[in-house]
Amino acid sequence: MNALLEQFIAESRELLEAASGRFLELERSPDDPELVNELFRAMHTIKGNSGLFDVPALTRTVHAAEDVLVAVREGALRLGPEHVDLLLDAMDQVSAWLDELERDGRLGEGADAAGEALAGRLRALLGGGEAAAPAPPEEDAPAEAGAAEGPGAALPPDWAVALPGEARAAALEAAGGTAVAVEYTPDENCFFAGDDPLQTARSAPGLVWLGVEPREPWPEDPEAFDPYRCVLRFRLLCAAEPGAVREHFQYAGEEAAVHAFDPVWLAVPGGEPQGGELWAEVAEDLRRALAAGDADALRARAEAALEAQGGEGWEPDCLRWIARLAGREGEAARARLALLVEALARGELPGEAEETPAAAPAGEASAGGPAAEGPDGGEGAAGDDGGPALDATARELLASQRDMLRTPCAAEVWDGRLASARAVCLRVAGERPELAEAFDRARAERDAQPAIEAIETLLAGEGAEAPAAEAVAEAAAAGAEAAAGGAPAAAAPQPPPAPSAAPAPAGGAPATPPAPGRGGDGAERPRIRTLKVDLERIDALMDLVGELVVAKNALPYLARRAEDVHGARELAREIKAQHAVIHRVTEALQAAVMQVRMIPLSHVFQRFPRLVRDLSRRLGKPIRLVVEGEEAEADKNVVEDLAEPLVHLLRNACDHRIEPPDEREAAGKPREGTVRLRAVAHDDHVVIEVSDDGRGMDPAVIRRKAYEKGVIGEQELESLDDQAALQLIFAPGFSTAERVSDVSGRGVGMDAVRAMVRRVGGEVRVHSVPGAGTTVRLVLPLSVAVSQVMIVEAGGQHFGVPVEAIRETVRVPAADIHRVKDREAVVLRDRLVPVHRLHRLLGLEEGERPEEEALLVVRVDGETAALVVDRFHEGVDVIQKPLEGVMAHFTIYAGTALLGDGRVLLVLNLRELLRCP
Amino acid sequence: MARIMIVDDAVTVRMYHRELVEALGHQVVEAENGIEALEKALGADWDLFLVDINMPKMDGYRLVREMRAGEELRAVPVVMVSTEAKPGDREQAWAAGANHYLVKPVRPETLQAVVRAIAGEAGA
Amino acid sequence: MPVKLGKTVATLEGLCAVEEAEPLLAWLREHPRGKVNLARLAHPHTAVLQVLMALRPPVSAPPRDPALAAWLLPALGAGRAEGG
Repeated sequence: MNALLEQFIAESRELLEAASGRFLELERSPDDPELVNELFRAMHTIKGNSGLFDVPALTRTVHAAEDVLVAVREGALRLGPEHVDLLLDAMDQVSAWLDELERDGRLGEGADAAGEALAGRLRALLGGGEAAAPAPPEEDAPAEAGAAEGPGAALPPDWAVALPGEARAAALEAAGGTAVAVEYTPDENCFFAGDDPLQTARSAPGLVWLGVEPREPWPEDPEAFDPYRCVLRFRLLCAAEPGAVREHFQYAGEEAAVHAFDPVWLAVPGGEPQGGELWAEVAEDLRRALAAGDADALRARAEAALEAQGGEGWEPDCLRWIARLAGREGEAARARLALLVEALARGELPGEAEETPAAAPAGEASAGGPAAEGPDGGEGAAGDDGGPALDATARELLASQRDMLRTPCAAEVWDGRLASARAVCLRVAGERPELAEAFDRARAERDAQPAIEAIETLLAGEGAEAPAAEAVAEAAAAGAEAAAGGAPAAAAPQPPPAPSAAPAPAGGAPATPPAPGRGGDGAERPRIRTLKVDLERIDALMDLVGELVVAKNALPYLARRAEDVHGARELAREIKAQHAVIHRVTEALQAAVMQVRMIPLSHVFQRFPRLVRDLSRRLGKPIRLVVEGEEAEADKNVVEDLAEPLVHLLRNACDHRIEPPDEREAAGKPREGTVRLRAVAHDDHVVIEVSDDGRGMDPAVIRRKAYEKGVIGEQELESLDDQAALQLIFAPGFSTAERVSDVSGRGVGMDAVRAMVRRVGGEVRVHSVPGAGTTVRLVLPLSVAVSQVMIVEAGGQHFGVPVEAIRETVRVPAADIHRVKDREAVVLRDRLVPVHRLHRLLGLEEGERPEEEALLVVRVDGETAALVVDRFHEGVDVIQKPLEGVMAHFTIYAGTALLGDGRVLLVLNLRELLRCP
Repeated sequence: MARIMIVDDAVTVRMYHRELVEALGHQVVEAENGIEALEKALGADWDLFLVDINMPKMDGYRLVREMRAGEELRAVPVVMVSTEAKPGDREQAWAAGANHYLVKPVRPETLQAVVRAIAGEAGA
Repeated sequence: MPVKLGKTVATLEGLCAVEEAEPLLAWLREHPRGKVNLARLAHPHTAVLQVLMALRPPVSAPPRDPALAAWLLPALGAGRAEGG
């Protein structure tokens, strides 16, 4: 797979993952414009990227999703759960396609049909009328319209633009950011269904204008006319929310085409042009007001000019529209104003001029996109008089400069714009003194006209010399561009093009090798500040750190041997000193690598809103998930291992603990249950809580159940306090679930949750208040990578004990260990501490009892205990690995670790160990 | 060799444009949005900016306006490369001070022809 | 009766329902020079509107409701001039 496709897949997945979370948020707050925008941008980006590959089904689907979002943004559509379901389905499908792309390098066979169906369903959300895309504007080449129906292709239909000026003015005035045009063509037989389409049309919300016309000529002979066959067509302009209008016409289905658009597009002057010099002056006056951003002055001047010049005609109509638009909010309105002022100066709308070949709009030629087929090599016009000839690209660029300079702009960008146009023109057309001069004059006179004229002259001159060639270039412009082969040798500024520099559009990556000369410029290359590193490389780095830790741990052995075996005391001291240095550096290295491995919890959290939403719908209980602190970070392994237990906890909360809505209501709670997922990061651990406001847990019930199931004995039934009783839910084989549902399965044991959490070195506790809710609290280490263990000896073997469990090491006279019934205990700091003998727990041979016993005092699950060992050894840093194979069944071991001298150390799982009698 | 800034929030598009531009022997710097572009651009010489329109934080129109209104980057050629192609977009680009307008996805040869015309080609 | 068919003028008043279309059409066929008085018309059913548009009788009095007149008169086209 090539790199570009790989990148596309990675970027799309990232966007999709974020998007599905956002869709759920959107369902909750459908009016949040920022959310809609973000989602729109995500779809827009995927769509744009997908255009680089041959994946029409995918492109079509995200495009449809994008259109839905545009409708939401415009207020034409309010998202409900069904809509979100569909959008999420679409996201799932796109994900599946990405998997296919990654696996096979292309989409599967059914993709087109699936894409078609999904896009159809998405578009159906937009209502029947929307299916008919707005007509492309006349001045746009067909290829462009096809290649890029932009998201905001929200243009009024042609008929709306052609309406009488007063009607359009009324709509402009009455409408806010959106006006709606409806073309309603009722069914011929609608009268028999009892419909009165005229009534429907007249009662449309915000009706500004209504037009009725026959959709076929009336019969010459009145006798032939059938009054009960409806042959009318209604056209409406409404100043109302598109959503309201669509709702009004919802029963009309496809008979009503509803277009929402920005009313500023209605500002099109009409009438006969008057001509004359004075309009340019008026325009100049207006241009200044426009540049100054003074809406009042602009309106006042337009109205004054209208009064002075008065009358009918195209130019006065221009002024009327300018006066109406002045002061209107929005980028579109400002652009329209600029266009109208420019139109007044030129005596025509800029778009209209572009029908003449010499003034073909630049850029259109390149609209086709990689997928478009077209003649590839339109030849540029070769100059035959020795001057540099202009190829098609050069001509387009020059035309762009002209068009840019003609477009009015804010005063502060004027100088910069002229300077940039000068730079482009001189690069493209070569050093032509007359061109440079024209630009200098334009700058001096603060009027772009000389520069515009110079460009026109250049284009006209070239065009006149080679009209045929230009026609070819223009013809090619629909889909392709006269490009690669276009620069003749005489064109000084353009070196000959690199051969075969074009990547295959469907295959993706531009396969061109780096051009020569690039390597030598290394020093100039800008610094890259962030790197995306493959996880495998980080894991490899971590393994190396682990090996370094092990190697470092070998140094104390070496020092001991130097001293004990070789009697080299001094050498031993030096080795120890070096060990201290290496130890420090290794620790810093570890910390640094671990920092790299930290990822935010949002990686796991972001899938939960969807989970809870699905559960909520499946269980028929309204449940809200509140997520907090998802920005907290932890080691990648911890975060990944967290997913499964959290899924269980959330399921349990939704399924078992949140009551059905009626029950909640009866208890005086809101019908909607709340489940809260909260993370808080601390120095070396992160706390994650899953809490709910459900029915809570009754310690008495749990105690009894635990007893019935044999989890606890009679004695504990009496002695366990409430909090301790609650923890019984984590015991193997315990489940409070009263019924089995498809959500939690066989009441997936909380014991499994605890086991998973403990596997990464975490702990879990539950707290509950009957009737008010339950909180399950997970405390997890930030990292599982490196742990510190203390080596102890028992029965001639070495074992590791995690240092976090160790409280202290003490030696007590053997006589101080008392026997209480069948157990041993010792009094430490005035507390009676149970004593366990490690040999016995592990079934090892016990040596002679010394006079003084070595006690390792540990604390597990809040309980203190003392372990009798033969000897204490040093503490070491180890990379702990889980037990594999048959050993994995021995739960008394937490894992193994490689020691510096090559031995394998078994690390004890104190919790399991001390549970043994 | 020319220095060319590619501003687009889509990594895939940046990569695509980068490869096409680098194939002509030019040096490329990437930015995700207008703000990042300005931060990276100041203090260096540039031959061309390829700028997307719809971007978070600072969109393409604003970036170009900032460039034109400022001192350092005012004369640097800018080619807009956008998915939008609705009428009015071009006018907005012109008003902001963009020198050319291309519609995504751009054919490789089209992009290279434009880059070659404005920034030349290195090593040839 | 919302549609009163006289000798030279048909007067449409209030809400003219779909059933009025047929008699009005018949009347207009019989009286090719007949006029319509719309002064007190509130709403014609679409079928009635179609009849008016197809046969284009001169309007002797336009609707007093300006909102109705605003779109109805242009729809009736030629009828406007005479109805004034």
